[in-house]
Amino acid sequence: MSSSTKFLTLKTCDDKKFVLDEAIAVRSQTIKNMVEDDCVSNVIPLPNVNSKTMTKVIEYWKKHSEEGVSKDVLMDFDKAFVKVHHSILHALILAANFLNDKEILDMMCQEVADRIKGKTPEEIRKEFDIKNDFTPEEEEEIRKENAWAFE
Amino acid sequence: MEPGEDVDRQYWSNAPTDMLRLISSRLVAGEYVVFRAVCKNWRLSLPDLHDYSYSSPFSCVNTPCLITFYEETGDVEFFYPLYNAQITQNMDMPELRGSRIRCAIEDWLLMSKGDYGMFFFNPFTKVIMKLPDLLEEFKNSFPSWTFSCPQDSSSSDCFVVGFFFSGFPPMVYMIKVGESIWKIHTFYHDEYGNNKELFFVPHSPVYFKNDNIVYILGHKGTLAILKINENSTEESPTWKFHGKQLSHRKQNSIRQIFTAEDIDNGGILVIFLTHEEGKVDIWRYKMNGEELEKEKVTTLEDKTLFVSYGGSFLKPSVARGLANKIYFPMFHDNNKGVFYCLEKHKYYSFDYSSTNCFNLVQPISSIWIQPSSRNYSF
Repeated sequence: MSSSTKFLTLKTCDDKKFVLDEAIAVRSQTIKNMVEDDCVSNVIPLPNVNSKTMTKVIEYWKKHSEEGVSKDVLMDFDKAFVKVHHSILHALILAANFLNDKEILDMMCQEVADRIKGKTPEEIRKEFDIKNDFTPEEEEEIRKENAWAFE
Repeated sequence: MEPGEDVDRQYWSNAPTDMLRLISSRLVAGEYVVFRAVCKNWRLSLPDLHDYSYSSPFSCVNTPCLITFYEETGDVEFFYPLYNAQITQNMDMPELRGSRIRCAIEDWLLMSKGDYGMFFFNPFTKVIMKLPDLLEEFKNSFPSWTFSCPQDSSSSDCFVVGFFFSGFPPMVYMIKVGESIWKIHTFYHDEYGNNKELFFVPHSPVYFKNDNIVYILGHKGTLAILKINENSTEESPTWKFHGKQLSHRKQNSIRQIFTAEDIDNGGILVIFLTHEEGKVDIWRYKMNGEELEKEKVTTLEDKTLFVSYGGSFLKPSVARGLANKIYFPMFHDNNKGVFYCLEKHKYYSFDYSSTNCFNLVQPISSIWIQPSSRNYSF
């Protein structure tokens, strides 16, 4: 409908610039608010997002903005999209939170939850590279309190 | 530096609280407990109870839940004891506003509205089934109601029965679902050879649908049994009265009485809360021919009892730690469910135990329902 395509420039915390169609960038509620409030000059700084993560986010935005993509194709895309190292999951959740993109946020949190389900605390620590910082006594106490959950 | 190559790799254990809550809101029961057992930060960041303000799809499995109904707004709170989780649900159904829960069978609530309105409501499917209005000359001042079966069971006729609080014996309201008009049955003491006025313990009827009879407690600890005759509301039902009155001392000590069907043994369980501190005393009332046998119950063995006014049931324990416990329609610390251990003679809640019920709160309108396996998502 619009007469000309408007572009926005996003600058990540590692000083990389992304030029993006405004219609796509406003999938981020944060950017949308800035555009609507007219606070956009030339470059939108994204101090909490690095370029690697932003590349993933833009990949998702572009795919989900394409016209004529079937639901099945999008589902397959999403399935592949979440199959990433847990460090990227973590970065994507932070980025989605900052950009206020509920779709990506929900999808990523669900993926983390799915990786947790059915595992013991030890298996979860292994999966997410987490150090067990409980003392044996503390851990014993937790297990005792909630014995039914650890069977 | 790229995040994936982070040297200290502590990003998950140091994850912000918001993120942990968003993730954990997708975990139920043991998963949630396990989640909080992974590392200190995760444990400290998350409340011991599920916080469903970060609401996510929540499916309820086949365990009972306590529903608290707010008359003014028509909103409903579901409490899931197995998970110690509470969910508030705005029903957004104007019909519910100003109505009252009368009793429940499985996941169907019998509700009343105003002086004459009666309907069934299923809070999981949000289905309402209207019943005809009560009779103009007998508005709803009947404190005790029961019905014979859930509304979507195809098995048999469903009778709805209401009991007046006193009489010689008390009047009975009846309808068979599908009929267009309520019947009222009055009784005369001559027929029953007893000219003493009888009072019923409110909310105490228990319907035995196979025999089409209802047990209801007299206020002095006796048992009244109503038999519905000829599978019909036209026929006058018949009363029988059994048992001796409790001692005055016992009567005076009673604070609350709950009743539940004793599924394996027949008869009913009567749960007395006595004295200020809420001493728990359970008796089994069972008919042996024409004789009422009362027996003190000291253990529920491997069963869990869920009690509330108008809806109680005895269930096999479904998880370790639930055997020989009574879940009351009570909360500690606002939203933590309360159960009583018959072995330790103590009330428990999450991180709480006490020999009395002084710090416990009982919402005005809370009732246990059993989410049916027929419909379990909402």
